[in-house]
Amino acid sequence: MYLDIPLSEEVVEWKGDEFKKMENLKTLIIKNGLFSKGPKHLPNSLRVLEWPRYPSQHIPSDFRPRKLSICRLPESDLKIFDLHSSLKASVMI
Amino acid sequence: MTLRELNLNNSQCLRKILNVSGLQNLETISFQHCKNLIQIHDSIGLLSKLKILDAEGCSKLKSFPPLKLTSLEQLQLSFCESLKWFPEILGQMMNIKVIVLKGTSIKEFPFSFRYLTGLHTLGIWGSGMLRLPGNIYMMPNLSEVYVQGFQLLPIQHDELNSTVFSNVQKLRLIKCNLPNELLSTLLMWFANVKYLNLLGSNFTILPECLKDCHYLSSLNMNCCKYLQEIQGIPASLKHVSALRCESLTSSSRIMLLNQVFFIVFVFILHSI
Repeated sequence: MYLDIPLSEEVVEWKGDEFKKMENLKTLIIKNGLFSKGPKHLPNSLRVLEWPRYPSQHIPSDFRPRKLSICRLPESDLKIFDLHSSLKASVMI
Repeated sequence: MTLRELNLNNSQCLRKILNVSGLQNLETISFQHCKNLIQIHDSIGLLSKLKILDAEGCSKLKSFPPLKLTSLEQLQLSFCESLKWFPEILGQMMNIKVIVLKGTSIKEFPFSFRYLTGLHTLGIWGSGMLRLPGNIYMMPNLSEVYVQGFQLLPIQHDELNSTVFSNVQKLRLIKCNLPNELLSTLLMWFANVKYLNLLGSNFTILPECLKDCHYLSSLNMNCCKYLQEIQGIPASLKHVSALRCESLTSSSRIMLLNQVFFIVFVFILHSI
């Protein structure tokens, strides 16, 4: 999925769980766009995640992307980068 | 985990990078200009496949974990303005060829710096005090050393091991405060130097041991305005540039004139 939202001041209103039903999504690239909130869920099937200005301070806690190969989150709002704890959980499952 | 590339550049809120030990396939990690980053987990120094580690411009970062990154080819720490120590190197890391440090607060290097055995070029730009690594003359592949803008401190080192010959061919110490003893030490260490550039540096004596730099062919001492005395020059020297060496004694000038084939020697005009 490639989303290139035209540059505008308008905020993209969403609930944040729209990706929940996309469990086979392999590539997610989101360029531009101001989002009202961060994602509550990201598909674990992702191989490529590219989201400049990723709009959340956290990565969703249930994100356990075992096959993720490329993760580009420049200019993000992340405060702490922590993939380890969710990965650890995925190993335990 | 299969993650090969992680890019968190310009994430202004990022304060911590936690444990990345689960990311053992990581080849590139980049967090340039994360201006509020203050803590990096030690596990970042233990990623065996990591080739690129780019932390340029992390201006609040005060320390960096020890590195045991056997595949690392690029390490970028420039403009980490608060970084005072170059990271410890744990074991041989032979794939880094170039280290350029601009605008950091690094004043000292660990003894383990010598484990960067593949290093070809070391360039350090900045201001304030700097003590060069005490054993760089033992680094087998080091060929070019560039240092600019520092007040250089005496180097703590063991007795010079005469069986070790540095391969440094280009040595530039530009606009540095350069104590005479330190210049002597460096010239003894880097006795195989071919190009020596001391542009604008403050020292008073070009020591006798310069004579033993048998491969020296080019010497730039423009604007070395405190240089008074040249105690010896090697027969190999072909090109000398000595603009604005206003304090140079007439006997030193005559020595240069007698021995060097090509000289840019403008101060003679000044002294007439």
